[in-house]
Amino acid sequence: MELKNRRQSLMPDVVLDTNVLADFLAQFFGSAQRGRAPFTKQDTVTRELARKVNQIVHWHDWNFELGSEEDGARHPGLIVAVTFAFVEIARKWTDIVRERFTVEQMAGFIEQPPEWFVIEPVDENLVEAFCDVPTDILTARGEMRSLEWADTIHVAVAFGRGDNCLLAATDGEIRRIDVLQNRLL
Amino acid sequence: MTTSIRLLTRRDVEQQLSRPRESTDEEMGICPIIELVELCELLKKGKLKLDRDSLRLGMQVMQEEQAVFIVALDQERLADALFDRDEYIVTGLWSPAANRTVSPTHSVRRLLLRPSNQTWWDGDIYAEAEAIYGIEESETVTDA
Repeated sequence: MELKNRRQSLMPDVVLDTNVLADFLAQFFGSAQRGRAPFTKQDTVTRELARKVNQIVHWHDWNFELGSEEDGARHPGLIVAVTFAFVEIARKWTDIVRERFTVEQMAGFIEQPPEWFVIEPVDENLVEAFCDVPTDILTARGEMRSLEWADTIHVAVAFGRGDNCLLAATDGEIRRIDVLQNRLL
Repeated sequence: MTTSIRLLTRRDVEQQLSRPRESTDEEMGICPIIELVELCELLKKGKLKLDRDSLRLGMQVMQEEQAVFIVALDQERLADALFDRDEYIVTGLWSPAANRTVSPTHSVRRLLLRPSNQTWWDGDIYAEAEAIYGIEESETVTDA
């Protein structure tokens, strides 16, 4: 299913980092009613990201109703998060989730995500892309800081999904990576 | 002839990458993907003797050889390992990994190696990793 979508995809995918994923899931299980109502600008979900998610969900609903996914020319891309982002949510559960969704809901999402959402593995392919991500970042105060692997991994997922893949990230150091400047949501 | 299974430590993996060994039918090494991520991190920071081409070649050989099994953190492994269950019902997060007193690296390692009816290795491999990394990783947590 995903391979077919990837071949057809003309619009970029969007990778969510840990904090954005948590806020996305809060809306998914809350006001967005698992994609039956629109996502909106809230917390780390920007207006632009909400618009992109709604576009993707709408496209899949429309094609499901038509019973066809052959219209690849309009395919809007996919929403993506790496498995590690779910691990980070689990590690920081109380602070990040703030009772907006339950463990059971997250487990169900991981087992069976919507068809427009991809859970990317941490595997040998990702290690290749990981090596392409810059190690040192120039901070706002003009200091060089190393990007930790736990942050690097979200960037690697975006790199691994093509040159135009977008990244929704809150981490200040990720947002300072030069080559990402035109790809941040 | 039976094949023995052993955990590949970060140092084992580094040696394997720099001097790929010929496979034997007698031993299977289990390599958690997090060790490759960590080695890649060290390589990028110039703290590893390997260069990137050697890393790529070594990984290629590891994948082609039958003597090393790289355990990835994919959707199935995550669903299997991140939660406590009573039969199939989720009862909570699995606290050894869902815990800020453990480093992200070791959380991932625990998830990768947690034995279950979905894995073909038993608890000995998990226990071996705990003996090697458990105390060290808990002491070096930086984001708690």
